[in-house]
Amino acid sequence: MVLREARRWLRHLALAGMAASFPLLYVGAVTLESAAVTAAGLVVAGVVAVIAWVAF
Amino acid sequence: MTGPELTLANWLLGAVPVVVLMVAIFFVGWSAPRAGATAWALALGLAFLVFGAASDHVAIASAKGLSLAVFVLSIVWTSVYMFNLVDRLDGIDAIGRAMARLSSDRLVQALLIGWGFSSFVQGVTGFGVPIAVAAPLLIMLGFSPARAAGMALVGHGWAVTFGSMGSSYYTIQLVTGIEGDVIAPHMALLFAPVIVVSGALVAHIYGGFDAVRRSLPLILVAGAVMAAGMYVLAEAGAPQIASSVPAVLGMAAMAIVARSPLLRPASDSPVPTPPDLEDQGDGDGPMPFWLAFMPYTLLITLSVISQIGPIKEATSGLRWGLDYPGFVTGEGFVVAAANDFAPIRLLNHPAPLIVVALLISAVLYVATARWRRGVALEALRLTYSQCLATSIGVATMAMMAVIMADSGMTVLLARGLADASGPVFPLVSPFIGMLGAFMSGSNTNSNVMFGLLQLETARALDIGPVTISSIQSVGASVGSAMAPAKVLVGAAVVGLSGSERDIFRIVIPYIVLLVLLAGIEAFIVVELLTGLSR
Repeated sequence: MVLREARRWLRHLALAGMAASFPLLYVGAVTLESAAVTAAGLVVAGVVAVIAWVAF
Repeated sequence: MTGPELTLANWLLGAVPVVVLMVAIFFVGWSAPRAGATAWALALGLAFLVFGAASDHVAIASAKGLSLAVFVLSIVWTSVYMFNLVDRLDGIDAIGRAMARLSSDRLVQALLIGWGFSSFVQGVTGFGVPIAVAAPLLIMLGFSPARAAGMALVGHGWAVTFGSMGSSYYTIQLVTGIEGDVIAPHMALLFAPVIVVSGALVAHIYGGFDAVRRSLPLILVAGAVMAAGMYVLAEAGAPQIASSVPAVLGMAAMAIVARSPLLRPASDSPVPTPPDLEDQGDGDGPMPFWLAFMPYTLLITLSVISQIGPIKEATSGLRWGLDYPGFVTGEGFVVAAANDFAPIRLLNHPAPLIVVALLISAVLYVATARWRRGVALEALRLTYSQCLATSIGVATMAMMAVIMADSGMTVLLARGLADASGPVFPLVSPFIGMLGAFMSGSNTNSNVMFGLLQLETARALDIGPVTISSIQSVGASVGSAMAPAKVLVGAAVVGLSGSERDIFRIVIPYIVLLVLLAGIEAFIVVELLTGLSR
């Protein structure tokens, strides 16, 4: 029951994380051309991938 | 150097993300989000470590993938919401009842909706909408969700190139530089057998070879009408309606043949209207068909209006898309800058049109006392739960596809297929188109990716460049029906999110068969009927 609830919560988090990674990736790699922001975007996207792997 | 060197090791490595994606979904049984996330991570790692992409290159490619995902998911969310809203107002029941009355023969219903109606919707709208509209109707008629999605996916594949008001056709024509009056009729000829066989395959999904045998007269007559209609319109310089109009003509032909002695009655008992489609007999009475179907009527009407020349021109600036810079990878693969990437045009994208159609419909439902307090929020909650997994699946797969394309992996795969095939290239050519559509979820994108490659390969092999360019789009048209992005739309709409494998298993053998048919056609035209080759 707890596990199911945790997975449900993680699914919402995955969608939110995916939505958050988009502006980070775009702003980092295109607008600012900042390695740090780009890396942050890739890390967020990577974390989302791990969450998606676990939650779905 | 124009990209990664074509070696067996590179080719195999380039194929890893796609192979893992397919194996994970079809054989291991992973959900689309889990398989997509894995394939994206693999594509990113390979692009970075093997194919010379820098971190900002994979970041740009991932962002482009998310741009594509926004383009696709805006259609998914709005179309699923439209369906849920109409359903909550008992409109889908009403539509199902009306469709059931067209013919009591469920095989005819399957062909009318899965083959004819889905193709018409593809003709006037585009990505995902045919599945979003036709699959729920088939479910309302009592078909299982997986079969309903399968019939709509397989049935509409022929209508993609000239569908969406001809957008994929114009792309292949522009990319190859072949005159429209040369390539359009030639492509229509190559589509003819595909159209007829698509109908037979929908019948086969419905009820195996018995259903194909029984419906053969109907399929042959309607298929011939559709194919002739497509050819005449392509020859007449009206490619933008060379899917929608033939689909309508085909449905009319089906309705006529279904009432003639040509169609043998079903050996089993006449199929009754499914119990859940019978009139409920509530106090207000069932919703009339015209009102229930109003959101879809409005969507189709708005789509047609939006394509009228002056309106299209006047609103061409009303769009949202991001600009992406070009770059050159460490392996020398050149990626051009993309302005207004995957743009959402206010009047040329299904999502805004669906929103407008919904708003007008809501006013009508309120005016006719069909609206219920709280129904909009109910439908939104349901849509969110249905689209959550689909959204992650589409996003991760789109990111994977663009990373592969922008690091040279996709072109490498296609070059490998072309080089290895040699004299049997015409057989392989539509599979390259299918690969592009599978990866990108779009006939148009596949034509952008591979149109020129196909043309140049045909010229190098001295085999009909027009035929090969045409068959690229035929393969991509049909192949787009099994693109994960499209299948996920189907799964979300029919309530099979998380069980996409059931739909893939139905669809893939049929699509591969259709693409093989296109390859055989191209081979015959190029090698045997050389007079037809261009």
